[in-house]
Amino acid sequence: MDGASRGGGMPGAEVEEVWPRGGRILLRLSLVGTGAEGATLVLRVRGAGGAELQVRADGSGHRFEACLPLAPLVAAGGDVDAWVWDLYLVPDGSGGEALRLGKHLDDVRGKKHIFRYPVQHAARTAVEPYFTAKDNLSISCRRGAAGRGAAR
Amino acid sequence: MRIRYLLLNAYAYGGTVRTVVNQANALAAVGHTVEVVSVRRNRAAPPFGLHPAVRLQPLVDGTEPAAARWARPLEAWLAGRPSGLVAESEGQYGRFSRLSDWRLVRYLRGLDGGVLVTTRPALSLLSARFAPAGVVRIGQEHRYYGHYGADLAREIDARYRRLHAVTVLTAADRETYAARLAGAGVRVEQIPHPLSGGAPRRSRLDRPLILSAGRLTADKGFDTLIRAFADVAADHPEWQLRIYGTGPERDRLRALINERHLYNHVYLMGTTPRLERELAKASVFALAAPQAGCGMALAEAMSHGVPPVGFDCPHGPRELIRDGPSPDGVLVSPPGDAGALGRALRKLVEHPELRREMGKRAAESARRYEPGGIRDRWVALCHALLADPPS
Repeated sequence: MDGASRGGGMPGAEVEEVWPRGGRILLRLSLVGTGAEGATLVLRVRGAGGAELQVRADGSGHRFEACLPLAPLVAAGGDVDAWVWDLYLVPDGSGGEALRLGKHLDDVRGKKHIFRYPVQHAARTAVEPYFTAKDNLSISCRRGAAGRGAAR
Repeated sequence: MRIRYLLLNAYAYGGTVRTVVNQANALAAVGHTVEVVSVRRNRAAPPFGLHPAVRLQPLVDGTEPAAARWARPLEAWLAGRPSGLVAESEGQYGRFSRLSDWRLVRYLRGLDGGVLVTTRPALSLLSARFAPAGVVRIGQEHRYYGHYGADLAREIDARYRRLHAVTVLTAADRETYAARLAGAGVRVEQIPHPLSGGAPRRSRLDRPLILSAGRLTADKGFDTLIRAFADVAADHPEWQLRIYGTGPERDRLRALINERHLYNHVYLMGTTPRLERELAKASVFALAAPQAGCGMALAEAMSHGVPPVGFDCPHGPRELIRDGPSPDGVLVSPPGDAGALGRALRKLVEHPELRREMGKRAAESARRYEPGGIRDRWVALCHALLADPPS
């Protein structure tokens, strides 16, 4: 989903703040175009048949907060050296519809190079949240690397 | 009136070229005969659009086909020899050559009447030496005297005496040149650069956004600004600081942002071709250079009605901001003090009515830099010098 397809009151999960700090990643989110009693954050490794993680979000209505410890993020890599988690929010009672996390409602285009976050390490793996070219939020994991910036 | 601008390379991008082209176009638009003479040429067309009535002439044309150059072997040889006329203290010494020496002297000696404006010290020094009597010789300074090395400063002191006028950007430089050239009868005028033009859109001053802009170099104090803003963001988490520009300090500034956990509040935006649109969104414009070096961005921000904040230092925001009983911005002392800068930002963040009052006055003050007014000051200066026949 990109910003253009978000119009007309389509529900979306907007990233407000990203806090990669102290061995976890805290996300502050707002649910737009809809509300919910509760919600679950779903993470999927990009690519066919990728692993999936689920984390219960705190909050209700339009404001949610989810805390991701690094351990399960880095444990799911298996044999590969680098993988990417794509993040979704599934509001309760929505029939399981997964809303891709993104940041589309502000005035900044090209977030990939502007909204940058610190790299954290766990189990010799660099973990770095980042915005994709479509301004969606993903988390990059690289074994033994210093993060996305060093690989470029 | 006939006026010629002599610059190093009208075919290159840069602040000097842009302001000279703006001035040339403004004068041509009201019927003056304007010529832009470029020592060098490295591409077919100049990047900044010239008024159709402005004549553009290169002295050394680097875009000529090689065959044309081989047809004149002496010139080809001269083009490869270092300049003997330009002082090596000139920052762009390598751009000059024996060939440019020869063409410059021939051009300057061949002038007959009118006004000649030279746009960097190396060219002003040659104008003083070779332009004949009867030509009004004006040296236009785009930088600050204090930034020149001792060798170049000595040459300026000695040779600018043969100019009729020197125009400077700041009041501090006006005093310096007046003292350096005392008794020589050289007119020293402070004429600032004009705004980019058009009708600036007024910011509504209701977005929690502080903006800054400039090249990301160590002397611009962006690290001080980030530290100052950290205090404000702690109490007012809805506020953002956006910094426009690129440069060698980028990675260090990003590391500072991470270290202070400001990645949700401070953004390095890179460059934008539409800075004026971003300025019109801001509620505060901040600069943190601890000494000289305040570009046009601050004046542009004021023209959008955005209250400016900067350190009180020579050549800096002091030249543009009036702080006092009815301020149009905030001057912060002592220069370089992040705590003092943070307190000034906080005051504006916490008092929207103060932003509105200051912003209104800032927009009024910025009218001094409107292109029409700046052009009229140039015309008045040239007419005065032409009427009082130079010796």
